[in-house]
Amino acid sequence: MENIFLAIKLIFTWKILLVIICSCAFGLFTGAMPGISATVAIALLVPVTFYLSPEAALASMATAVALAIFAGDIPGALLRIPGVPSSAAYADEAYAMTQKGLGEKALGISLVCSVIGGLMGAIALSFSAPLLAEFALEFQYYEYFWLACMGLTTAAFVCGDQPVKGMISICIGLLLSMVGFDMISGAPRFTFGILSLMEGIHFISALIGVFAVGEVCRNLTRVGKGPVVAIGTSGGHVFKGTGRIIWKYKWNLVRGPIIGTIIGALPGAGSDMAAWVSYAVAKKFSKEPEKFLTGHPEGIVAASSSNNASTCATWIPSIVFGIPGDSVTAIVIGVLFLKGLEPGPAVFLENAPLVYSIFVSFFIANIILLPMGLLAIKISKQMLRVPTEVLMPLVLVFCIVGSFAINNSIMGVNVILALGFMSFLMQENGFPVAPLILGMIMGELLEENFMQAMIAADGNILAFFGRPIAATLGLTTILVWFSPLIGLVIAKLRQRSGRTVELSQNKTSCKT
Amino acid sequence: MRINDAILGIIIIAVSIFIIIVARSFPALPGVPYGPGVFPTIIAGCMMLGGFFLIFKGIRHLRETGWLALDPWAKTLRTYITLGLIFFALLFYILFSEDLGFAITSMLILFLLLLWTRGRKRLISSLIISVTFSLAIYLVFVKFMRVPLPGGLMQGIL
Repeated sequence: MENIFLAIKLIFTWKILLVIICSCAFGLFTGAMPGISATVAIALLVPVTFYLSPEAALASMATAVALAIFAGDIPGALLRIPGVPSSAAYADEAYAMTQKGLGEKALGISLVCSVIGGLMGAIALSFSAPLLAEFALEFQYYEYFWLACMGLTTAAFVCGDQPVKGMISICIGLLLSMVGFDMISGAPRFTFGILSLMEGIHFISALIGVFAVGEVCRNLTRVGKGPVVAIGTSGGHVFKGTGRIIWKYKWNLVRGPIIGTIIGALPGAGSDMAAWVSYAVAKKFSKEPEKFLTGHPEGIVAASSSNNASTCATWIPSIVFGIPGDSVTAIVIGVLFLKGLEPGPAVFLENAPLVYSIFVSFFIANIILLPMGLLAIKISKQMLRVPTEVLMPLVLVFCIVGSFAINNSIMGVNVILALGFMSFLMQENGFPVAPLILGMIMGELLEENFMQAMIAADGNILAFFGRPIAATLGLTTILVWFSPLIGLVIAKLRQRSGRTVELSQNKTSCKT
Repeated sequence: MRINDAILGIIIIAVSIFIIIVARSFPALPGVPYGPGVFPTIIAGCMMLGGFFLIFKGIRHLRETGWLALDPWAKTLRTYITLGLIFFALLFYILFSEDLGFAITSMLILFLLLLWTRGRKRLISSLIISVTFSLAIYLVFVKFMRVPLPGGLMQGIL
């Protein structure tokens, strides 16, 4: 309780409130711009956070991401181009409403549901994180090793349709994290005698390269392909009839945030997954599933509340274990390290007010979302007029500044050049890049815990399953690794019995 | 631009083998059986397995996908020039920012890119955008946030 008051005191200074307001505007704008996802937005915010106090930095990131996730719905509804990946699940539905002339109604519903979902997620975060942290104090290398494995596994399975490519992406990330001095033996690794590689590849510049420069390449090579003119809202009352619709689908408003919170709390899975799952679940439980995709608000209620809840919940594993919930929180962890704070259960003992200040920021962000979101809907037509071909070169220059500012060396720009183009090629060939970033941020944690565990157990692999929690986590992870194989075997067995030959054939043709 | 998975698999296996060879050369600490090369070797091993899987999959689907499939946008020369411009813009910054300074390098990069993406008709507005944005970024980061961006030619002026 005392911590909460201290946290409120930390946040309610004019300086931090100003930071929050600016981050709101930044989050809304970047979220609404197709091509700047929430991850890219947070990556661009990083250089600015260097000059903020830890609590201001965390508050600005929490606010920006909460608003960006909502703002992504705006171009989703008006242009059918989701501004952030987590709006993709219901962009078609919202666009169908716009075509019926209900654009502002769709956005009004999605705004109110985002606020409610976000607040529910913030409540879940504030209550579960401290409890989980107490529990996590008992964890040793074995548990951390498995948790990290589990997070990476989830990331590989969730991002993209090909887990193998996700896994390769993770391996690339892990290997990139090893460049530089090894922290156990002190030996330089993979530096090839290049002096500037000795200190390693900085995570933040890698991230700017992989996400931001990669996106610049992707967007500029596709300029002028999509519809540019927004249909625009008819200028009607945004919240007209919103209350009635929300009341009608109130169970979706309960189910959506709960699904979002659970998926967000899983290490490795984030808000886009939450939105897809909630949308599908809403359709499954709906009384009128045939109306979905024809401009029916039910799925929007479920999915837009779910992704905002999930945005808060992804911070749970990130703060408690130091294992990011998604790529946005991977950046947050990177920033925490820059500020000299190591995420983990100990943070709750040493720096409790700071942790609680994150919770307070999320509450403020989700409350401010209501008026700011309304404003954004009103000016959406003007906002969407900023063309990609102007924005992307500006983003590129910002990437240069950001990567340079990390340790004021040109090395950062070298990194974004190399990794930006690598990321572009990877994405073109179906390799998801979010796992690469998760692998990179978790590389050190994974290796350190693995090596210490190996040394402590004298190479006995069984020691990894020696403690009950470790054994549970380990067996679950291994089961997930082999799940595609098990699925394949089952499919083969079924095929042999000849019952579902047609069905499995259909399935394989879908995949290709 | 979709390269067949089999080719990607071969590249990935080659990289993994290279990493394993490099990792074997890392000096081990005396007395500790698990040196700095252990973990990279394991990860590269996993990556190699993934590579084999991709080769298997790529060959199985070869008839549908071919060795190289180009999306419509990837067939145009314009795409490659755009990518080339982004590449050389960054390279130009790396090579010349120290001498020319941030503001001038950034102006040149921006103007070139905007000219390419927006066409010659909007030359004036592109010029205005690149000059104001570069100066604004320079002033905000140098004066306000104390990032020592290279001053270069404009060292004394700004």
